[in-house]
Amino acid sequence: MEIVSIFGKRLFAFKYPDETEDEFSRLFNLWNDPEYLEEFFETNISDLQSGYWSNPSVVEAVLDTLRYAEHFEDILFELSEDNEDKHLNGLESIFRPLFDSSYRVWTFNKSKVRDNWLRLYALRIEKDVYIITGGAIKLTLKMQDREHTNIELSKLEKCKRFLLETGIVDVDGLIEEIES
Amino acid sequence: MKTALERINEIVSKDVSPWKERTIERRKNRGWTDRSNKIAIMILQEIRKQKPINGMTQKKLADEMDVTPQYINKVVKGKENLTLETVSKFEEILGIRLLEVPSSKASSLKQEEVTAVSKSGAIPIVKYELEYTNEFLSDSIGKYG
Repeated sequence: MEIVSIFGKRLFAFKYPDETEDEFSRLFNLWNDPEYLEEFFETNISDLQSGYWSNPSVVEAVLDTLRYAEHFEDILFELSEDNEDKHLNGLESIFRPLFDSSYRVWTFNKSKVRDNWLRLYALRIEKDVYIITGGAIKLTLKMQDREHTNIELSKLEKCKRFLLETGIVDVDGLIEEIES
Repeated sequence: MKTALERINEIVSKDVSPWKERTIERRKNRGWTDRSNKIAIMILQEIRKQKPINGMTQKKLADEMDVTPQYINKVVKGKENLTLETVSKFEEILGIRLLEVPSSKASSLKQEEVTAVSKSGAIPIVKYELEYTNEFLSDSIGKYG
């Protein structure tokens, strides 16, 4: 498992041994790939048309996702072009805690990318420092509801263990974060 | 004592993520990839629809188009800057319409007939002038500007 720099000195992503690219880059490749998206929405059509969303067709879902990814990428690209000071604030404003701040797992702030199903997941190491662990197209309410989102929870746990075992963060650090 | 960030920077990979380089490329190509993505989705949906009827697959489509399966894969990933000739070939083989010239609402064809005289006699030359309406232009600027 490797940690790869995305841009600047404070945004990173994990690269897993069974993948050829870091998670950040891999996900944006998928979210820009009509073939992958068409297959994904055909496979998950019952979730797509369950009423949780506005029952879009597969074609509409693919086109929407391409548009969301474009917008998502634009926000991040602008941050990457900013000077160091600016993008520190930028990163803090675009991520929000995933589950009631119970531990340091963060996801992209939905208000910044409109209300859509794309999710990036990150561990917040300290203020202004994030490591992307993965991401998903989340069509259901809970991450536990589907295998492809449940896997992301396992990845988050695996990454937390890695950071503890390599001494990048310590247990005390995690506890402090849980209590904050 | 070192901070977590300092400890990360000690072990961070020498390779930087290719994300930014790819994003620059994607942003540069948006004008045509927006269209090639739409064409890709239509082709993929048509292959899916025809598969139970005539066994259509990307491989079969490649054979019928006399191109490689790799080429078809590039097309269905929206990464091929298609020519009109290729689009027409897809349309013919799949029996669908992939590309339409904007309707008269978005643009109008102004036909100006000019008569020229050649050595062999009077030959009518038809000159077409494509006039884009403001509505079409502002839509494009809003989307890609």
